[in-house]
Amino acid sequence: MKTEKIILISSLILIAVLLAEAYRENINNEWQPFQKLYKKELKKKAIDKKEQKLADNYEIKMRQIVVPELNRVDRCVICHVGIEDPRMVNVPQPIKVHPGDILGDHELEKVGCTVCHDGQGRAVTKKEAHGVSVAFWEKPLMYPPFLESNCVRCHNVESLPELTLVKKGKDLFLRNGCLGCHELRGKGGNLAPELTNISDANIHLKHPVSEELLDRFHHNANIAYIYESVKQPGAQPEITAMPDFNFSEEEILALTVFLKGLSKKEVPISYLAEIQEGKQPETVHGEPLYRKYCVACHGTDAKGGVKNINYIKRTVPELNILAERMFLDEPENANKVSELLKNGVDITKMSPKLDVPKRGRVLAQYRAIRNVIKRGSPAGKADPEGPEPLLHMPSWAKGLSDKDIDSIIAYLLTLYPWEQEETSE
Amino acid sequence: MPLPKSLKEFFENLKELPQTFQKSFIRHDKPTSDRARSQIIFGNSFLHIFSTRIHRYSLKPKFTFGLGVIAASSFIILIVTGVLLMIYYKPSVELAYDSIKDIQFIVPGGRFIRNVHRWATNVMIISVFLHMARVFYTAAYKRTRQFNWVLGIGLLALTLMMSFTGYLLPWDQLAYWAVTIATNIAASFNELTDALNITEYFDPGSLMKILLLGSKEIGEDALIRFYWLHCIILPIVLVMVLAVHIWRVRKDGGLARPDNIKEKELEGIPKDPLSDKTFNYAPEKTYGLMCIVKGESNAVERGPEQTVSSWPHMMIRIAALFMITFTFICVYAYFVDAPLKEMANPVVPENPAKAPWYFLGLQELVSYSAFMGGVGIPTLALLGLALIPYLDKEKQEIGRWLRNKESRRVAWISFGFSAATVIGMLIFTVSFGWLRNWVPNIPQLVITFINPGTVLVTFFVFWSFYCMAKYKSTRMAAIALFTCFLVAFVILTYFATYHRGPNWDFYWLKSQWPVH
Repeated sequence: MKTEKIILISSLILIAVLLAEAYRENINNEWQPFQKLYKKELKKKAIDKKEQKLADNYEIKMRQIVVPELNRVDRCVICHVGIEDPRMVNVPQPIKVHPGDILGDHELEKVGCTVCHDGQGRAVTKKEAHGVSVAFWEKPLMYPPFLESNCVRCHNVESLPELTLVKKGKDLFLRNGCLGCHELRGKGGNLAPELTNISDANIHLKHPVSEELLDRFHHNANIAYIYESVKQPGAQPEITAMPDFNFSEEEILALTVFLKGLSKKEVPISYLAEIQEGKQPETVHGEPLYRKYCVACHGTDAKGGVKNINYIKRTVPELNILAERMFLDEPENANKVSELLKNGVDITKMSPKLDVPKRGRVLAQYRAIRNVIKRGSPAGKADPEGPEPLLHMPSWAKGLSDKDIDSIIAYLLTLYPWEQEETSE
Repeated sequence: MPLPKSLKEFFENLKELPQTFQKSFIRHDKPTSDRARSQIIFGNSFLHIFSTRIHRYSLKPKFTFGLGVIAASSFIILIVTGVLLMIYYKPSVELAYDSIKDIQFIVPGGRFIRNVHRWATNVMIISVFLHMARVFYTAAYKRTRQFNWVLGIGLLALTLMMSFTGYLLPWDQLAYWAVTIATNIAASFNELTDALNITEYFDPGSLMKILLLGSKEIGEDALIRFYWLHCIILPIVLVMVLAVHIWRVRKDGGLARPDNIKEKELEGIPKDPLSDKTFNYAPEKTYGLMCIVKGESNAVERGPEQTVSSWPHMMIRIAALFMITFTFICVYAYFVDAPLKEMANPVVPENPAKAPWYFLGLQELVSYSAFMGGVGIPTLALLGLALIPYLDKEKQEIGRWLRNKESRRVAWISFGFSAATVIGMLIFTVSFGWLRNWVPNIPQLVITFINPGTVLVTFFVFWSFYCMAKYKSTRMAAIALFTCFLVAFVILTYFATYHRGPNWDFYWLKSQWPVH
């Protein structure tokens, strides 16, 4: 072929491609028809001349809500043009008005869309913006019941009664000893992954969930992964120390909604619905603390029984025999120590002297137990050649104060089954 | 009243302004004579990097396949699109990803320009590799062109560095982890110093990594450094080396060509009617020798041999190649979007975390031994490539693809030999593992020096020496070694791209990667 011909043909192809690209980008895009439709509806619904004129002047253009405080640019309104227009009721999506009266106290210009709904605010096509089947957007559009999860970005669970699932999930979380292994905002154990930003984590990249689950949760891989991990701890990774809590389906969902709300705090203080006045005082009662941190491994009422592979004692030790361990043979003595510890008295002080038999041994043992809680203790292997046991007593020096530890010991001392012992004798 | 003379002159000047301006701007006549055509080239500061006349053999499409021009064209496309992208790109950890998203979604033409930039990179890398192979197999690195070959190897390295530094800028998962892998490759000196227990005193691996990243982790410092390298330093260096590279071609008398070219070989290539004439008087010559050229004869009192004027014969071919390259990239960019994954997350690694495709052959070697795969073998290969013209000084015909039967034979056998050893070695390693699987406590130093990568290199070197002995020719040895490395590079790159999955395990297909 002649060189000139090559140049001519490739130039023609190039012009065609550039024109096609210009057409695709500027004329044949997804959002223009919706704005035209909205304009038509505006004209139809105009009741006076002024509105008629407004409708005529309605411009077809790129639209976005920029919220610098939230570091968000939401172009959702490029299609959802009627979102604030109460007249847009009997019209097709996406130009419908926002349902409910939420926009009444959530000013659109100040809040935007994605802080509540997730999705990809910067995108201008449905597929990319909703992010539902886009592999590389981690926070696709949320659907109920998970919409609740994002409310906690600004609101307090306790003060917003609508957040039933989040509240239920939080209660379950605090009552089942999840913090024993998982850390949440600086509190909790270190045996398991931290949960502070679990809803931002793309851990699902490492452990992809099945298509079925993805379909169920509108292709939100993060929700699907959280759900799977709560429902079936051993799903992946297979080797896990997390016991199966046998939650009901409803409880699993509530926990998932709660966990989905644990994301990086990305709203400035001015956006918080009620600025909390100081932190709520951490409870120092032994039992709630035990339920919060210890119950998952040491069992209900400290009866033990959670399996620990290749551990010398096979199961995590029971703690309801603590009184015996501390050489407190009589219920009254145990109760006395328990009472003192509960009230925050330092029983190791010389005066007033702790008045129980075998005081020296009691105190030595008390110190030893405190040390185990503070420093942790590795689990010994039953079979030296076998695998490392998965559960170890973690160190609580950072998570629990001395007072917390004392009140937990106080609680454990009250659990000793005195009556049973008497009957067996 | 008659107009004063000066005023009259002024008006005349004004009237002639367009003409005089044009004449001052373009200093030659219309390109109707050979003289004017030559003037276009040597009077233009950009074009004078080319010679005014070009040998007809250099225009033979099947000789060069236009690969050098394609590489340079894609580089020009990259500069233009890159400068456009710089307007919107923000080199900061917080803003980079969002700015790419904005380029993708709302910057007019942004998505298209980014696609063009991305795909032109691949065209450039591939054409640079092929150009190198062309120059090698046509023995065009010989005689006076040794150093230009070294510059070419430098340009190959610069091209890869440009592409690699650009890889991080979008700040997505793909970028972050690919660059993590590649910087770990740069730091793999550690494996050797660790094994020798001298890391404490002598730690070039960590130094390399720190120099590259500005910190121990990939973060803001690394991003700024990569941005600076990608947009300022490397382009400037590349442009300068490229200019010297092309300039030297002109100084060496144009592209390499054989001494005795048959008329049959030049069929279909435009011819100067004066070609076959012998001149008795210098003034009859249509072009001047702009400088003295090294070579075996000079052209005094002879016709312009088989040369034609560069303008238009060469320029129009360059224009055509540029247009083909540009059109191809644009069509591809229209249909295929440049990849952009999740925002970089330093906590959750990609699995498998793969380097950019052109480094995957190296990554396969790195999976055997970080030091050998990442530093040892590449250094050896680049050094070996650069030194070829100094070690193979055999006098031979240049400018023809594997001229004699023997060299073609060596190339084909080396192709088979290399393919067989590489594939065999891969099958062996995938099915049986390597030393560490058999002797778990083996010292790392042994693995560093005996691993599939080094074994392959040893095979190739022995093969090359065998060819040298058998054919009593260094050129044959060079052909054998070059072919072996080229084939190994292609096979390893293919293998690591398509058959390595999570944890760098072997899979036949990507669909077999474990999901749940």
